[in-house]
Amino acid sequence: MNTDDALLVSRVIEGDALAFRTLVQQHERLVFHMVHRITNRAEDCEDICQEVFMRVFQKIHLFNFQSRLATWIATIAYRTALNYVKKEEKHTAHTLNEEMPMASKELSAQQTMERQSVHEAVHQQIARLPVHYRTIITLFHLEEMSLQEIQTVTGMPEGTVKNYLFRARKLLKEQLQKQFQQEEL
Amino acid sequence: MKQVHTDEQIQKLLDQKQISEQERDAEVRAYQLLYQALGQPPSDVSIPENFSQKMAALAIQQQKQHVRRQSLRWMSVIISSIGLSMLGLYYTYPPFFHYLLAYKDVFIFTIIVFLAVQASDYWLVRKKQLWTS
Repeated sequence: MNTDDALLVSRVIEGDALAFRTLVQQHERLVFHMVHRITNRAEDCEDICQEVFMRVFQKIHLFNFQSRLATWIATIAYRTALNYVKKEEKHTAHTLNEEMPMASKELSAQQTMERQSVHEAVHQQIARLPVHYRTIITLFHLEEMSLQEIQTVTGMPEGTVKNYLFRARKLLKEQLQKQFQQEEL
Repeated sequence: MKQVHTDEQIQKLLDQKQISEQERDAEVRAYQLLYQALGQPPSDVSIPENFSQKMAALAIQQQKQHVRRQSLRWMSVIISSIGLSMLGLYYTYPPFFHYLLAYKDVFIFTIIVFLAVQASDYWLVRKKQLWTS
């Protein structure tokens, strides 16, 4: 059990508003990244993140330190965002866009510009992945969670998490190779 | 002879940080660039500067509403209990009810003092304890 987390949680339960603000500051990046990746809707991101933290506030007395506080908050963010996606019932592209325009030769000649283009291209392609793929990619690479933690957050078996992670990265690599000339990578 | 890695092998080696930055294999290089991009946040996600402050204010508001609703619930229970007790006395033992009615000023005063103490407790003590900022 992390003693800093334990102290923070007990202060929030006692009614310390500053402690709750600190908790939000420590985890807002995680929640915003997850919600943005899962919903693919920047305009609703802040509202959904507010809903996540209100649920954290309402249920914090139930947190029993079986996992890290970040993992518990990520679980709430995952479920809230997923519920939003299901409610919206919007068509999301589950197939990768194979017609992404190639980067221009002029741009890719400069290594800095190439790296920026790669960064943007990768994040555009992530948005086109199935929701579970992009969730796992975000939690593993951006939030540096372990496979066991991702299993806790998503409720998927560890084998499935591993499999989805492998397939998502393979798909993204292939798209990267299609978009940029092989020799320029 | 140059070793050809499968996608799975390359990913495993990169996860374990067992591949050199100088590796020139095209597949490995593609994965290295991908991993670098994956580790960076997307540029279109911006967190409002006052977000945590806003959340703390919302939480305080919600907590106040919760306490207010709870207090109203308890007041309702107490007043209903008193009312039902008096009604019960009226129907079951009217002489005692009329005896009590002679001292109604005392009872009304007691009830008012009790409610005043409860209100003071909420406004002066509990409200201060709840959500100090």
